[in-house]
Amino acid sequence: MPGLRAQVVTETEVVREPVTEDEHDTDSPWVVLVWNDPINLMSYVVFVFQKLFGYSEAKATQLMLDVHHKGRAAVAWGTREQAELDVYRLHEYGLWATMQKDD
Amino acid sequence: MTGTRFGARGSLVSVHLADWERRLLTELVSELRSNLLHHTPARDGGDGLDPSLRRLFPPAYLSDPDRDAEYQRLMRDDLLAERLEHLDQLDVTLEADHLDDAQVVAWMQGLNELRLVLGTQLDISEEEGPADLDPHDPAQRPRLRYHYLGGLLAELIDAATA
Repeated sequence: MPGLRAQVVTETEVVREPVTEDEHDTDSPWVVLVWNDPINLMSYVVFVFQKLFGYSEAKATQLMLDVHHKGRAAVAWGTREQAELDVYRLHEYGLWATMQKDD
Repeated sequence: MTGTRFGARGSLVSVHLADWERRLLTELVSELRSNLLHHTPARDGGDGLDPSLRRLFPPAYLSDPDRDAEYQRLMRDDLLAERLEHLDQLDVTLEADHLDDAQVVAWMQGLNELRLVLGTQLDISEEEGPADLDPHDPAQRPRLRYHYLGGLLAELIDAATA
């Protein structure tokens, strides 16, 4: 289904403004983590990583395997606002995503 | 599970569901929609979320309750609206014989939401498999439905990424 694959990298999501306070720490890098869970299908997780982040199938599969075997994987980095948007998009797809400072 | 319920057709995905499958999905979508509308607290409601829905509204910050409360306050209404939209999209296209890209994604999200709620209710474990289930035992019905939805979603992903 070529159309869907093309959409993986060309889709632009609605930009939202989740947080405006704590401006002083928004330049710090934040990391988005996806956690293992017994419900989400492996193929679904791979699909979501490709669609949301434009990752290759190989990279998305490796990240999914990291989630599955190590319990979690870091899937994206950015400012707090970027990370929160990524977390929200992952939540839209039903993945168990959180964010924290990338110390 | 024949594996032929979805097929790649150009840029579309064809749908080949039996009548009982469409009826079952209609019922499951209706149940979840009602559950979401009646058991999702308003964004300022804090706790009180129906436990079976907690996977649909996960925390964003594990070790920062204040920031997580803020995330929930800002995002929960949007997330609820998204969930309901996925279910509506699934519902209105249940009779369709093919799906476009956006509809395929809405089906995936809707089917996955049904699985997340059923799986939470059933306290599904990593090793859980459908092999030991008796299809004639009414007590096994939720578990059978959970595994049915998993098979259906897997076939849809296969067809959409073929």
